[in-house]
Amino acid sequence: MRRHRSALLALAATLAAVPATAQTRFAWPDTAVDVSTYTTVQECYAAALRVQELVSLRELRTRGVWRDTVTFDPAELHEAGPAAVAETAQRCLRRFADVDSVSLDGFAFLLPLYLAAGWDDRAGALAERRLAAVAREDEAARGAVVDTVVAIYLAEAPWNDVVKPPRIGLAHAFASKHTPLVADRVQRFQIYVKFLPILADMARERADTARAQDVVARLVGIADSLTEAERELLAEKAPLLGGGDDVAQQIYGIYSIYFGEDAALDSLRRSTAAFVNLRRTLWVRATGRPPETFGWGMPIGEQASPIEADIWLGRDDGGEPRPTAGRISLVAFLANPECRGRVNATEEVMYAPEVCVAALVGLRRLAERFPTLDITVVARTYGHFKYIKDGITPEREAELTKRWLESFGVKAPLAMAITDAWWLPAPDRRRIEPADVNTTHYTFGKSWRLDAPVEAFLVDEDGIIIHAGSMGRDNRDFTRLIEVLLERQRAGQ
Amino acid sequence: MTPRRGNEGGVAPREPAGEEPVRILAEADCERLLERAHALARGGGDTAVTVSSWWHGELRWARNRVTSSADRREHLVTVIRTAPTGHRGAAQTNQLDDVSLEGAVRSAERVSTLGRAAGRGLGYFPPLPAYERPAAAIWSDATYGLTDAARGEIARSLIASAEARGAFSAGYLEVRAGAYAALSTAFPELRTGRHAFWEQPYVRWTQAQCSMTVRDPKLGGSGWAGGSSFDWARLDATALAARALEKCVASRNPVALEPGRYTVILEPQAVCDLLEFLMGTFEREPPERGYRGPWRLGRDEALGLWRSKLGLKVADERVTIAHDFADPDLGIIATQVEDPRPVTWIDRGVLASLGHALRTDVRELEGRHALRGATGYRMSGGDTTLEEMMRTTRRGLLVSRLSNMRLLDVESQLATGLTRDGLWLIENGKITKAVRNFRFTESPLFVLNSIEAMGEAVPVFRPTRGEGERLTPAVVPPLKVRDFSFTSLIDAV
Repeated sequence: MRRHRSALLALAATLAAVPATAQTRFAWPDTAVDVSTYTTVQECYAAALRVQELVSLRELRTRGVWRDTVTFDPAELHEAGPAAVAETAQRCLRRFADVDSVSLDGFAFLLPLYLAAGWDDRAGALAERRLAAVAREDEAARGAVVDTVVAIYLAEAPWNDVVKPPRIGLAHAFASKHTPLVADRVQRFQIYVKFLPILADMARERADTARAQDVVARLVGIADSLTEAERELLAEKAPLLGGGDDVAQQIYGIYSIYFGEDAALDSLRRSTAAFVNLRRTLWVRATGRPPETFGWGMPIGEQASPIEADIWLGRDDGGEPRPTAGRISLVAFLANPECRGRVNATEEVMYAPEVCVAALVGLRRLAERFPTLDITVVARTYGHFKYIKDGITPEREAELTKRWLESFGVKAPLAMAITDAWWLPAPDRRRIEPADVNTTHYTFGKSWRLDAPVEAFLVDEDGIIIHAGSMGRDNRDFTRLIEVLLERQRAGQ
Repeated sequence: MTPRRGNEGGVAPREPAGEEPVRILAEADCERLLERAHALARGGGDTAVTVSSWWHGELRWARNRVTSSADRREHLVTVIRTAPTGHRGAAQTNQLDDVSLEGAVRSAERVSTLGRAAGRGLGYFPPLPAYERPAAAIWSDATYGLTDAARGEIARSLIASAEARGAFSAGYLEVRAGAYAALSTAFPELRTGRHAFWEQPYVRWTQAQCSMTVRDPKLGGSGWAGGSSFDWARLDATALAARALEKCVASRNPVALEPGRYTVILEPQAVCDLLEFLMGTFEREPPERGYRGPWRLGRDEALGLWRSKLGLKVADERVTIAHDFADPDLGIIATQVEDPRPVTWIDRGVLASLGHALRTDVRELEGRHALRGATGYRMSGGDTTLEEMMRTTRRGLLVSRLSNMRLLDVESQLATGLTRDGLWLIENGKITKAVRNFRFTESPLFVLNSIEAMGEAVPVFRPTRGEGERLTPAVVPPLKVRDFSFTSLIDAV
């Protein structure tokens, strides 16, 4: 009996010890994300990207404005990334925080994450450690590492979503220290070229001209001594590396920055001939090509032909030839039939391709900013308006085009040339639209074509073309030149 | 007010307790959903609603055992709301009750308030001509009625036939059905009847596909047979199994041959496999925009445009490749925007047509329809039987099918891949032995220019893969071709 009692006691003691674990209460699974439990840098990088996207979406919902529809503000370059991204990066990186011992395997993810976390000192140390890990004799790998580090510091795609703002100082210091040791001159050139877009923007805003000058001086030093074979190699590599597809154009850009845009504007203040001469001289030096090929056929220094039209609308100058002698003029070709759209009864624009909207809004901004600028919009008939032919006469086509332009606030006179089309025989059957008289007059050489939605020519008071290019939402080149031309005109009066 | 859950509006198809769920939505269900979603829109603007619905019934087996059997289905309603300002928002739901539907509409409206500025949208085109649409062979009750139990029975018999011969079999049997309908309120002036050209009235289709591989584990033989059609009744599963088994037995104990150029007899399936990449290239935009591809001829400097090979001879004059929506063996679904007339891509060896988008037709060809590339096609045949082809072959190879294809060059369409599931040596008009598989490196364009004989065109196995995807049938003849290039021996069975 005593034995039974002790067995019961032992059983009771056992049962008393376990009942809490034997029962499980239902609970919702914990779905809160704890990034500190992530075990790879790739997961951390993905987390930072997700947070960045969420922040952007929230910002869009709050502001209701898409950034790509407003003019570019250079101050955006300096904006820090969202605090939430930094916090996510910091929490997730806890187990990767020791820069002296962290594995270098995920370096291309780790370095941008350090920057996102605001750990710039550690980023610098990590970059140096990565470079030191390259075998002394492996020149190609050394160049590749320098290239990658500079690209990350400068927030090139695909790192631009995480690295904000670009660390120009860090990139410049790193590139200055290590790029001269890269044996391959083409690669060296490509590393320095990475700075150009960002430094050109900053230099224009007078924000960081010293660094821009330093990088550009290094580039000019290499560019001046590039062999033909090296230029060819650059031309082959440039598109693959995401650079412009024309190396000569790129090098000309470098020279323009190096010798200063101000010098070009100063020469324009003096005379159009001096301006044209300076640009062409620089072109020859940068590209080794003849002066008349400037800008791949950009017709600066050419005489602008008078616009011929069968139909004029919105003109109140008594029939004087345009561009008007004695005035600073802008001739804007509405060169694409897709760039015309419908305006409904309440004058709302129902549809237009985005590039057309940007070009027409840019044109309106120029007109508003420079009320004395003599703008002429040049178009041609296509025999349809947005592919509707019923009731479309040339006059009606001109009227609809004018109404369309005015819906964007573009009130400049419209010159419309009537043209015919023909068709290739079957089975090709494509519609061929011969160039109208104005297009022929404003086509210079084989490589300069009027194919942007709105292609514009800036013409001085003597009818000489100063600049040509496509209109966009941000026409900075046109703006600076118009300012100087108007200033020159006022000074001469 | 708390919204009530449920189907008071009678939108969702109801399933009495214990009955099989609705597999695809009927026309009346789709119409009710479209109307209900349109009625829920608030605040003006336009509403576009699409309803898509699909069902897959599938069964797979390997090593003579069924590995999976499933019935999957999905109904999806997509609502696009365009605010009066032109801004758009979209939302989707796969719940068909009133509350969910209203949630989707409200969600689309919320998103539309964030919308981008003018610049995105459909644009507009002239109204489409009212086409007489042929009744296409795209629906089969036999396919839709093949239940999981019936599929199981069929698989059991197929497996049993292989098992009885001591072979392993693997394969799948899949039946599918889909339905789609779309309706919007935008651009009333462009409607031909109720629908605008971009809107699909209710359409439903079925697809059946069956594939079986039989392997001899001891003697190394492998045989395959497969078929696909909108109509299960047209596929003889027992005959497929018998053919796979017969090929397996005949391909036992293969011998190695030297790679090189051989006269080959390509069975219809091998021809279809070889043409697969080429059939995706029948579009006029790539060659006429200058992209590399088989149909780009070159730049016409006089007209300043790229020319395609339209009108030029590209294949043997016995080759005609075409599609016809009314072809009872094909079963292609025409979209609203498509020209429903028969199209000949290659007409007696001459490239006669290339597909194009509606936009291209309207802009460049003065037309009003799209022309989809060769998704489903029929290739002309001849009257030479396989036996005759063999009888006239002194030394050559009989090829069952090709697999693991990779495109090597887009211009010549040079591709590489493997022969599989049956390759035999023909000597002096007779099959003498099974041969180990080869890697081939060959272009279908070269093959179409090296034809010695053509047999009768028959439907082949060309399955659809994506969920709810439409039909891509092919009717192809066997070909006897000279100088087919085999580049190495491979170990694959």
